[in-house]
Amino acid sequence: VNLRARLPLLGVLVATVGLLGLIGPGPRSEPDLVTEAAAAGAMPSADEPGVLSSTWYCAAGSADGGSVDLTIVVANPLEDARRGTVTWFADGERTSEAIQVGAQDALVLTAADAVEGSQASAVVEIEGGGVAVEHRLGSGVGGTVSPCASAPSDTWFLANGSTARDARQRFYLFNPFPADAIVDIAFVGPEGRPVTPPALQGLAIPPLSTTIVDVGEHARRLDTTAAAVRARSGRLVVDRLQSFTGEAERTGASVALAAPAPAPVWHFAGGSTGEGLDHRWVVYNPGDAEAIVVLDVTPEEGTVPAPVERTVRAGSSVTIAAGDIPLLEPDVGFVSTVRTINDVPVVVERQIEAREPAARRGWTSTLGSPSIADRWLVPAGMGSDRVAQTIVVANPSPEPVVASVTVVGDGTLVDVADAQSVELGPAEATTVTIGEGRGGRHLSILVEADGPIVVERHLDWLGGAGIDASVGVPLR
Amino acid sequence: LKLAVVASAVAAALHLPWALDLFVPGAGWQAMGGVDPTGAEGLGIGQLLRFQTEASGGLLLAWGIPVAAALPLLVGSGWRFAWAGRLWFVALSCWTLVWLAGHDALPASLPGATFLLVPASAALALAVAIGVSSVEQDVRTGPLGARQVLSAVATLALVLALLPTLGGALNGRWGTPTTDFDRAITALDADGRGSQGAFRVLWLGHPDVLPLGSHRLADGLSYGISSNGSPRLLELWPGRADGGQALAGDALRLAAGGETQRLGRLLAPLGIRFVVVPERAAPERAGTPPRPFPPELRRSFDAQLDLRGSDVDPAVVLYENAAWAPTRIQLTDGAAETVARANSLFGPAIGLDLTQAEAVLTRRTGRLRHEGEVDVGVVYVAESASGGWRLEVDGREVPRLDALGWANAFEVEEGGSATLRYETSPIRWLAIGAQVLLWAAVLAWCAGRRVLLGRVLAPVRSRRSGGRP
Repeated sequence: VNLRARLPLLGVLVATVGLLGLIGPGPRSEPDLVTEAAAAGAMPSADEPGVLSSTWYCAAGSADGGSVDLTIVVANPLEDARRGTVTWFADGERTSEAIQVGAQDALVLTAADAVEGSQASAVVEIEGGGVAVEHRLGSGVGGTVSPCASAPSDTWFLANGSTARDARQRFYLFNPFPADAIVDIAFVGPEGRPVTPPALQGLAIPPLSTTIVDVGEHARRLDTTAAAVRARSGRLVVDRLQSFTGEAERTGASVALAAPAPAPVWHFAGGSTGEGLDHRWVVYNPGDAEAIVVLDVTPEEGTVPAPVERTVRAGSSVTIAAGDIPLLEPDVGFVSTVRTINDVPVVVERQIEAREPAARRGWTSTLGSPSIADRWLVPAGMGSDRVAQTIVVANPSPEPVVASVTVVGDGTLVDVADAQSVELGPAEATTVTIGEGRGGRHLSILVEADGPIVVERHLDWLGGAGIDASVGVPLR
Repeated sequence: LKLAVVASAVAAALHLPWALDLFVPGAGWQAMGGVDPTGAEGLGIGQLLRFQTEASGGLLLAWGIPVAAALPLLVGSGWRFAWAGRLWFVALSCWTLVWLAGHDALPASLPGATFLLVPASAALALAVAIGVSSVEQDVRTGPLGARQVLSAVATLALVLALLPTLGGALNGRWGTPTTDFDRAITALDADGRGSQGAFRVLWLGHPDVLPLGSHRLADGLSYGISSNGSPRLLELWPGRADGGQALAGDALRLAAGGETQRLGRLLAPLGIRFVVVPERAAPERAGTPPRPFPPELRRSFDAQLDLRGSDVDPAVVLYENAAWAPTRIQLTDGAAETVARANSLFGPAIGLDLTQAEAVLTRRTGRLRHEGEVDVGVVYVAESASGGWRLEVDGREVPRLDALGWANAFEVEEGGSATLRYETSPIRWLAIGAQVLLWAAVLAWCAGRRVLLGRVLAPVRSRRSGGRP
């Protein structure tokens, strides 16, 4: 066989192999089991109604008749009742009880009715999804409310907190799992220096228990303490309880669920400044790279201030005071958004402090919302005998949306007058007062829109007993 | 073509009922060609030519095989060139199939690359052999020139390609690890756990590192179940993914999808006590290639309220199911009521606490026979629901019910000494008998053909040998 006779065969073989080589291999397949639902974001959210089960973790509280007694509110806006179990963890003991949340109703559970202890945490397991859970800390007049966590995490971040002389800050590290969690806790000290107390490195959180860390014992006399809790092994849930003695005019208590992850954008639906009213944003960058952030504030009326840009060094935090923003008029509500412009995610909290001569008194600090959604639930709304409650609905998107507010309870959905089909333009917000004439009852509130919105609840306890603000729970 | 069809039909008949699995979606190919579909490995043509089924690494020396196999194409003549061409086209077809599958360009799912590359490797081996013949008949007889140089290069390439094989053959281990997970995971030791009741172990990870036959969960991820500890020889055969096997896969999907934080409770009615996630085929010190478990899945498992994780070796994560129950238990009253009402597994299992249930029928007296004392109440047997399971208490048979949509429950009205056994269906014995007869008939037919052929060929052979015996 001469070369000419071989050429066609060799040509076909070489050409085929060459062609396959030129185009290259297909992509290597990876497991695709993890859904969006499993990839927990930077805030709690209610699972879709069709999931097999959903679980909520409430870390902070007590069950001893004290000022931070734990109460849980489970809200169900669905047309079907939901069964489940609540497991209370108090001082090393735990007890479970079956629960049922009626259709379009809320269930209020008090820890002290089931357990007794200076510390109380809870896990709420629901058959199916579509419900949301919040916890309220307090007894009698006053109190603070925050969503419970919808997933555990091995990292938790808080941008704000104080261990000043008049302040007491506690972390509730809740490990609901049957194995130890080993965590390292680091704070941001003065001028951004890291504070890593030896006692809080390799801290073991025993299984099925909650460990309370008094931050002031490890990071003394700091006006602002951003913090990172990172687990070497295991997972947990972290709440912060900030309270004040009143000796420096600051009063009240504020509970906040930490953020399991930093995010590129944080939305805040409500806010205002005025005499005696201090409003500030604290931006914490827990990463290894410098973050450049921009704060956009859009007032209800008047001139829109220029965006405020700040650089946040890796591992440090910066504070932006509303009072320092030019053209922001007092007593005018505003919507705000903090976003990074260099893709380095951050954690952002908003602190509101009310002192004389403001009509309100108190201190609250809460993380913003890193997510936007069409439907939101505020499980632990209040009647107005003891507290003035307002729901703030903001539209952070560039398109107008139409939103409606509904009260969930007693097996029905009751439309809130003057809060139906409210049109919100870009960066616009509406404030709805809910609860007048409802006595001291819990009112769960459902907010629905035809586009993405952000929802907050603000509480003003009468008699100067404190203020509180927290983001609602988005429904998937 | 007729002959091929008839031969295939006979082969299928001889392998009944297993051959029927080929028509069950997914099941047949998984048993034959592994759990990963073709192309999942993302292999390039260079890797295919070297038969390197890993997406990374691989030896440069492996190029020696295609180089040596190319020799008859370049220097062969006559039948040697013709056959070399055919064999290269067989190999090229296999490579192209795997490559096309990697680009999702095939209308149907085929077995994995390791399966499809077998004919290609056989074809190249034959081409190499033909190359040797070409050297003898086409090169030695010709004048000194390029042919001799090509022959020398091909010989050298073949020798180099064989070096790694020789290295593996010298100590006889063929690169197998010197240790296994049996020693690393002492928690699975069934002898030490036997008093707590029979249990199962769920193995989850890349199919390459699982020590048992497995079922596909996702691309590059599969699972299998062993009984009372590490897998045994029989468990290398995965069988059908039905009953408890399928439910275990569904439970894993629910957990991975974030639809439950109670995976332990979902697995408890299946008797699963441990979930083992190996990331290598052996403990880390053995140095086997890593097959990392997807970190997002690890997070999903770490978020389960009833799984207790522990790192027993850098190459494996062991989760103990805090909600587990043995495979044969006496249910508590509350659990019995739930099991009696339920006709599916996952909904009821979420709220079902089996940790208080007591192991019963713990004495094994046969492969599918267990004895022990039982009390009044419901006895739950975590085996696929079948009328073949029979429970006798003091000689009286107890009626059986389907439990949780897949298993067996027996409502015992009077406690006593009990025997649980599985009675194989007479149809199965008949089927086995028919299979034996079929094999005997085929063997007899073959023997008859051989005798007949011998008789036909005897005169011819006699003539060729000139009458010599």
